[in-house]
Amino acid sequence: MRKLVILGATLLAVAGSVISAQIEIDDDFMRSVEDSNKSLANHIAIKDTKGVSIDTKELSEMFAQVEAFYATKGDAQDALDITKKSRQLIADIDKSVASKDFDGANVMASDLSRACKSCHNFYKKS
Amino acid sequence: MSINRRKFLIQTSLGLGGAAAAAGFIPGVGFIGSALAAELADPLAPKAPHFPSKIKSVIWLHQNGAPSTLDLFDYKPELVKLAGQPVPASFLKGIKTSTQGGVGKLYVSNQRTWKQHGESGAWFSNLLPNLAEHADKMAFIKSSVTVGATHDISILKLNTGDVNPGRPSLGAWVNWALGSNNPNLPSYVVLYNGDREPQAGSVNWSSGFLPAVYQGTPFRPGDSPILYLDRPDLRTAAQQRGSLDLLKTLNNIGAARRPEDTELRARLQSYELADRMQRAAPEAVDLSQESEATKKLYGIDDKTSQSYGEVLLRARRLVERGVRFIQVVSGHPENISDQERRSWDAHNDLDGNHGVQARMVDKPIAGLLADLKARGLLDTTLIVWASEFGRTSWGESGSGRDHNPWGYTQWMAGGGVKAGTTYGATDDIGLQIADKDLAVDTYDVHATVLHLLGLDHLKTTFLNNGRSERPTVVYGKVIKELIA
Repeated sequence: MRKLVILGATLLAVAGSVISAQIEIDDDFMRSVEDSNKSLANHIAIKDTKGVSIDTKELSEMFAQVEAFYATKGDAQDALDITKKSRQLIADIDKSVASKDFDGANVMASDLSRACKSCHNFYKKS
Repeated sequence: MSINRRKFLIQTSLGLGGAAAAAGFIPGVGFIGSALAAELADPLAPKAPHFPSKIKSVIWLHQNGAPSTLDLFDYKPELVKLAGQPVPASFLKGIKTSTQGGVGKLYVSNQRTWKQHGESGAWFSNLLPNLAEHADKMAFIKSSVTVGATHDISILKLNTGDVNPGRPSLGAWVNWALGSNNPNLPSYVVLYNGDREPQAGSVNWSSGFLPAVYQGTPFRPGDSPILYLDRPDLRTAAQQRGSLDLLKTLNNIGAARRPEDTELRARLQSYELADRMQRAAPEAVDLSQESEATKKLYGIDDKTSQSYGEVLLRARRLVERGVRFIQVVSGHPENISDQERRSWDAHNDLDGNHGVQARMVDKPIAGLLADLKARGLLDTTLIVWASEFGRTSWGESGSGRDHNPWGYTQWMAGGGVKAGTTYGATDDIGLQIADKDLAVDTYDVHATVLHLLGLDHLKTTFLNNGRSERPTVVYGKVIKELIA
């Protein structure tokens, strides 16, 4: 019985570390977000619908990870709010570009960058 | 006859060149739009803004070294009350204090007094008695933030929007987007007082990845503003013109073969501009034509404010001559040898430092505002009072303040500005901005300045190596509350 408990605890610990590794937000991850964000701004400016679609898909997945990270971390409601706002902006950018409203998408992409910045004010490690 | 691939391409292209040039064909590049063709013919030709502009010129007053706006504009009774005590933890939430001095005790100078001025009731300290008289001309941004806490990096961000060199400065973007209003003078001029060029260097007026012709031209203090501009005595004007014509012909041949060589085009422009400037520039900065009353207005009769006053009077003369963007970097009075007082960077003896620096700029800036107003130029000129960051609420070295990128004051005045207003605020001790949603970063200031010039920062784009770049990088928001 004791061996079973130890085995169970070990499995839980391993599983837990795998989950936390999956949603780890490190420098490399954030640089990828930044690259995709810059790429998005570029694709909107040159009206490249396909490029925008690739960028928004990537960013959407990344922000889902960010949201999961802060949900797990706890005591970070402002980060969760900013992440949700960012995901909504990304979805809205997609819609605007689909309807050829690149000006609107451009404004929203700037808002998205501002949202990133406001989150960094609280959480960026330097 | 042997002919290699490069020669073949050049010769066949040039063969077509004469007929195609008018239609905008460039050998090796292909057909180009008429706007770009015009830009290549004269890269400084005036260009239309995106929408009607509110202003014609910008005077960008960079207060070098980062003044303590807590000691100039941002009165905090709570800070006075808490002075001498450690910073309450609640005020430090969310900031990383990696500045060199660490977090000391809250500091207030016992020499500081405060008073409200004008109908707007804006607060000014006793350090700026003359500027205070113009309170109702100004729109304060009391929620300024930036990145970085070292001067060179944050100065670069203030001017180019990035903490790494390589991006164009705001003046270069303006120069590129709008062209020149006066073919005899550079349309982007950098002025400074003191005995050397500003500490962070020419990267702060660089054209970055824009063509080199759009970079700023520094004017030195003194009678000869541009080095080596004067024609040598032994050379006649006709001889010089003959040499320049020959040089121009040869360079144009080279430029036609290498249309991508923006350095060569900038050089071609600069030779011609230099020829014209030999007459225009000395006259533009010749203060002997100004009355004694005007000189006094700018504080030129006072040793401490003389050099900065002369620079600002030059700035006004450049505005009158259609110069679009004048970047003025504050230095130090001529009679100052103490390194600690050669910029606003008061890590210790803030009273001594700011006593000199504030006296240096107070009368000249007040004089500039009054003079522009009297001449009917304030409505078409934007004055921006900016710095790389502010200073901390806590003291350093017992009598100074450290760097503060989390909350400080900047202001604008002039054309299109909602005068007598204040946007944003800092917390009760003036350390951080009170409302994060009202943060005004350097990008936002740039977006607002561009807007007043009739430019949409989102549409002011330049294709660099396949990537669309803009002055505000991926950020920027026009602060509409600052606009009349």
